Amino acid sequence: MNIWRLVGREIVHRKLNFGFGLFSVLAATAMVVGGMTLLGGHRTRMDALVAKRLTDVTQTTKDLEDAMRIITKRMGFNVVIMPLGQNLDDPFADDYASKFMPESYADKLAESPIITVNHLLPALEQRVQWIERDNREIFLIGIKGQVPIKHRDAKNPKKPIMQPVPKDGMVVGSSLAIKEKIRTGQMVRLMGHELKVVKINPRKGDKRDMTAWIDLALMQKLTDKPKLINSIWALECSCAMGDVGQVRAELGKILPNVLIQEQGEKALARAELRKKAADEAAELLANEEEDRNRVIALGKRFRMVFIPLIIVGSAVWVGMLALGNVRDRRYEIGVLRALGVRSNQIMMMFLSRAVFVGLIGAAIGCVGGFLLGSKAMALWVEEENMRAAAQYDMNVLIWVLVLSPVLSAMACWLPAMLASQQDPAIVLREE
Amino acid sequence: MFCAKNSMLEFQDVNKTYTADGRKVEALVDTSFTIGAGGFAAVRGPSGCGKSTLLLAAGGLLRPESGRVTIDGNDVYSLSPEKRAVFRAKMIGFVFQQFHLVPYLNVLDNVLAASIAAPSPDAGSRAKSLLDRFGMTDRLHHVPSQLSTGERQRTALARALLNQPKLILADEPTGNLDSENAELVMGYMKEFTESGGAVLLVTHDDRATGYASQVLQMESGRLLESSTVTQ
Repeated sequence: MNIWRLVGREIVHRKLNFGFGLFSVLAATAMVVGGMTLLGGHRTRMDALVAKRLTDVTQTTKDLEDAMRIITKRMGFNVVIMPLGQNLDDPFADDYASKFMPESYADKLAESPIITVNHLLPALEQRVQWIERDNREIFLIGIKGQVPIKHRDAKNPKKPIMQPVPKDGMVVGSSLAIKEKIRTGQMVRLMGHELKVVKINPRKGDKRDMTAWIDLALMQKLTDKPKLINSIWALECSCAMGDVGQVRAELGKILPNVLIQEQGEKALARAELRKKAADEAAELLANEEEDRNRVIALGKRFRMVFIPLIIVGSAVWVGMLALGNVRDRRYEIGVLRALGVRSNQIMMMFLSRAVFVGLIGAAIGCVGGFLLGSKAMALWVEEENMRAAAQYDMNVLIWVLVLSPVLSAMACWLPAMLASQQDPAIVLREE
Repeated sequence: MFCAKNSMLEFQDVNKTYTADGRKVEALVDTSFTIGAGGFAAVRGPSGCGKSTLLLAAGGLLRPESGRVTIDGNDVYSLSPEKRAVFRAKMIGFVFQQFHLVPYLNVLDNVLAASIAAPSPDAGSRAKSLLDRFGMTDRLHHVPSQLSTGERQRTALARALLNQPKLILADEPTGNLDSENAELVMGYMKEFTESGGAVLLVTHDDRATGYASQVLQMESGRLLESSTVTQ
């Protein structure tokens, strides 16, 4: 026979007292673990939502950038550089500038330390009669592709915004292709030159549908404008959503003999709308973040206020039950003392009982609390997969399993002390 | 002072007072006596004369204000409380009128409860042997509530004898027993004295007194006389 066996037999004998103590610890643990699980689950869900929203916003922003790029390209260019003296009515009336400038202007820009422009596209644009096709008037553009901006593209080459047309090739707008029954791969004659149709552009709904693109050098030759161009498209200016005057100022310093025409106000307006949408998404993200912080604050309050209250309540109850147990076992303690059982053994007897109450109650309470918490979570948020979101915090489990027996023993310390200090002579004399 | 050779229990000028309802009560006054090894002493006297106080003081449970209590030559109250508890477990066996068995332990475990304070590897076999001797073999796994009063007292006696004590302190052990069981219990205690142990018995029962070799008469905390009975 030893103290542990005695404790075990006593627990079996006084099931109700032990059961009440166990239930108290169990309920307290279940409340703590359930609450923590609920809050933890909600926080996990909030984290997931915020992370998803962040991904969405990032994707939206990326989409916006792509959309802006496409819109800018479709709706016209940010800045068109034209020769000095160009009547600005001409490009709108004739769709091209009537004055010309050296092609080397584009190279000069490309070799400069320009920072506000990302892409440079020199072009020679003319309205011409396509003599081989019944003198049909078409809009012919000679391009040579993008001129790399040396100080930047050498280190970090940008994806070309427009591909050059092959030397003996031609790109044809959709309406022109339909009207002239032109197909991709077909050989056509243009002003005496045999060219292969490399691409039919999809329908744009504007003058580009009646446009043909050829190599710049060929265009210069056909129009007898050697080494000349009449526009440089400066695309995707860095300050596209801000002050376009900066672009003009920088370009003006490098090329003083040019006119600079802003293009694409609609694109800017649309960019503003997109920016506003991005701002709203960011605000939404901030709201989610705020909700998450509110849950964190609630969790903190729960830990700071409710958990101590639950613990104190449970501890008082366990202590009272232990006191009742000591009173019930008054004679037993007196006899055990008379039999030579030492006061520290009596104390150990009551404390070990308290540790059992704490440990078993905590173990059952942990499981029950987690199940209740995750179940409540599933009901609360009305989402099928939320049970998975209510993740168990291992730290909580360890803390509860360690602290519960300790707190239970502390709650029973006074009754155990009273039992150990009980004078057997008084008890036995009462007989 | 009454003395005996080879003293097992000796009181020397022991005094103990209580305060009850603001009144000083002298429970033991200059009490001196000796019980030798193999001695069987019966303490008699009216209720409240100090018999139980004498028994508790003898058991190392109630420290007197003055005087010495020695058991087998050891001054009981010079020991620390912890050592006194161990000493009590090894040297003294208690038998009470109300038996004071632990209600949730069966007969065997109740007897073995005495080994909590003085563990011994052969405690189990000794407990069974004692219970067998007291006719309790078929009741080993019964709890006290399933036993007759005689069986309860035999269980209590077995518990008192488990650690092979040298002194048994019995407080009205036959008070709740019929004559047959009373004789049985007294007979076992007599056997104990014959094997060299000593018994201090507090009783009102004349039949029990008949087993004593020495009778201590008390009144108002004073030991009036100690007589040796010729068997």
